[in-house]
Amino acid sequence: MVFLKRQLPLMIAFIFGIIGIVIGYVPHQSFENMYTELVGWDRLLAAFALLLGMYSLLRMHYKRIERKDKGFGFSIVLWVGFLVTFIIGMYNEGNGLFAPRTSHGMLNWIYDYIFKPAGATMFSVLAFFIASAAYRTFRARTTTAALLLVAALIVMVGQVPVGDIISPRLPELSTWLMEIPNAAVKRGIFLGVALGVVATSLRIIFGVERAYLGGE
Amino acid sequence: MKKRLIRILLLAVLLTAMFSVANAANTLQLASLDTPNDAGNSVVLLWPSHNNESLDMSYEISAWSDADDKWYKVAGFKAENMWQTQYPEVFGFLDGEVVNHAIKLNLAPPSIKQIKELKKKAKATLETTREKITSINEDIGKVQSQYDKYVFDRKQIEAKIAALTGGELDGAKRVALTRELDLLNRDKHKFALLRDQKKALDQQLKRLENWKAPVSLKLQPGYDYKFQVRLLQNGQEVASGEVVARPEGNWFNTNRLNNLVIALLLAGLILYYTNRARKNPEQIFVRRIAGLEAVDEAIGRATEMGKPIFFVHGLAAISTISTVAAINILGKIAEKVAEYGTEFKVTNRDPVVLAVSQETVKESYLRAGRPDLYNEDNVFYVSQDQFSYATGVEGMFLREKPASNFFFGYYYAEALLLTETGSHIGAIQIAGTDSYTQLPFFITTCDYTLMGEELYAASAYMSREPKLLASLKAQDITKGILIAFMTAGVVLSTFGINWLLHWTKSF
Repeated sequence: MVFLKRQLPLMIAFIFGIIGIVIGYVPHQSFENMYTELVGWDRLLAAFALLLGMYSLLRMHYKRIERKDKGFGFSIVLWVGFLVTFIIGMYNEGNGLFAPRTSHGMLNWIYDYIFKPAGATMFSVLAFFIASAAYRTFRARTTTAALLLVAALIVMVGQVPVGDIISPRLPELSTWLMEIPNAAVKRGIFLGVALGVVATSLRIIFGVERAYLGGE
Repeated sequence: MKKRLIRILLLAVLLTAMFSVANAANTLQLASLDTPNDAGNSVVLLWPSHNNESLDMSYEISAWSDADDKWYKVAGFKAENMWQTQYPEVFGFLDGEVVNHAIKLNLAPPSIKQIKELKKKAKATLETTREKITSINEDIGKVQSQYDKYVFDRKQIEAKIAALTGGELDGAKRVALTRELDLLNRDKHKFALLRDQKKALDQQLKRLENWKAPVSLKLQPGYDYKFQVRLLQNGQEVASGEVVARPEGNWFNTNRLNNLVIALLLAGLILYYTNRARKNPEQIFVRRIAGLEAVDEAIGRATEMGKPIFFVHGLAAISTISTVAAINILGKIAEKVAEYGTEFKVTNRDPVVLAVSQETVKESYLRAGRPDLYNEDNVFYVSQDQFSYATGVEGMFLREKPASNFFFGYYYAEALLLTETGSHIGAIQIAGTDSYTQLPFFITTCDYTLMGEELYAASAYMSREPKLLASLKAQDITKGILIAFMTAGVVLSTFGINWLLHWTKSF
């Protein structure tokens, strides 16, 4: 049991971690093929895991309905939505489960007229959230916040035509801010992140980091 | 590397000799070499520039096909272009006057062998397509009578609608007939699907029946290709001799040598310091990370308020290291939450991350001695879709009003939606991400934010385990070395000394 829960996952992490590193340095066709094969395995595992996700989601909402938790009506909406979409998907415009999915019909209607607009609505809400978050951030209560406010104003005004009308220097200053100080900070973050990624990967490959197995 | 240097040196000597001979004889001397560091899908041709070269001349590169014994143009360019210096990955960074043209080629006409293979494949596909068409024709035959009836009925209804004059009574009739037509049209998808499939197969069959060998194909490793270069001006030409090139798959990418050296250095340092920490667990200094110091405060606040704590995973899959780092942090937070006995909810976007998170949280509760408190339903899947995930989590925030939220992993546009909602309900929020585009949003809306590398250091920081902290030390030493290299590179390049820059770029 300990072997299955500890040693085997560590061995798998070590072997496939080393294979992954070697693939990065060997451009040979045979290693490219091996990479394609491994990506295929990854997709296969993810497909099985999706069933697990579906089970988790439906079970949680079923229990919410059963317990009549606060907002259990939303769980009913989820179950109804799932069942309707599932049945329509299986029906496949009368062609059945094993025929290729039709390019038109009820399932596409649900996707085009319910799912997509709902997603677009959520994305649109982002604009209001940016405004409220920006308002909080740009209140110049400290020196750094004031600096941020000035920099943000220059960048924002410099990006729009009115900036050029106010002063032709504004777009230049905006570009300078983005390309020099901003790029420098970004690269600093990248350097740290890259080393962090490599170090974390090596810790996992060498079995030093085991928290993802439930820790030690 | 030594072998490569010798090869380049020999090639340079050869080309110098060729150059003198070529100019004397007024011909082009062509050489070829396999492109280093690739999978064997390209070759490089090299020849000295002509002594009377000018911009009104052009070069044409042809490849020979053994299928019809003809030369086919595969590339061309205006003279006084395409120099050897354009391929530092092949020739290194060259100093002084460069007199050689070079071009990397990855296409050539197919050989007889390749055409035979392609033909065989096309023949097999043709047979399969014919079988599929026979089968689909049978299916169509089965529903043909239904389809004919559908077409007949539709025409009838359409004729009735067309015959309506527009009177008051006709209005109701029109509505009824249109409804009848709509109902009838529902059946048409079944036929349309079969018809679409047949149409696609017919097109494929037509293409396969008229199959012709492609004009050019990607170079294949292990095959010999014959090339020739011609210099053209006003209908006159100077041709090179023929050269045979064979692309080969390489076993090591020398362009990544510097990368490998850094990785090996980091790996060596991690192993060294980890072993040292194992033998002699010393206290390693790690600078204070405010966001991680505040984890206890966030958990304590939720406990006092009797409200739940949310841990929100990012959108990335388990194959992304930031997700693994987030899971490492999740384990540590879950252990602390279990000690306090507070309700803990973990939202997931990826089913594989869900499975790993469930196991991690379960183990953490077990380690804290509170396995009874673990509830599998509290580590749950929300949605694979980005905005459905954001909506689902926001809804839970608004209904359950958590006292503390943790956001760790890789995020996209949903970051602000999640954290701003959390901020509105007054939750204490701690985030950690390496997604630099979302960092400003986290900083704006969260109480504490772990930036970039802090996310990866968090697990070691929270566990205070000497072995893990030792790896942070190795990471910092490597960072110091890289910064020293970068500073030296910037200073040297500023004074026009580029050897360090070229050296690091070459390998």
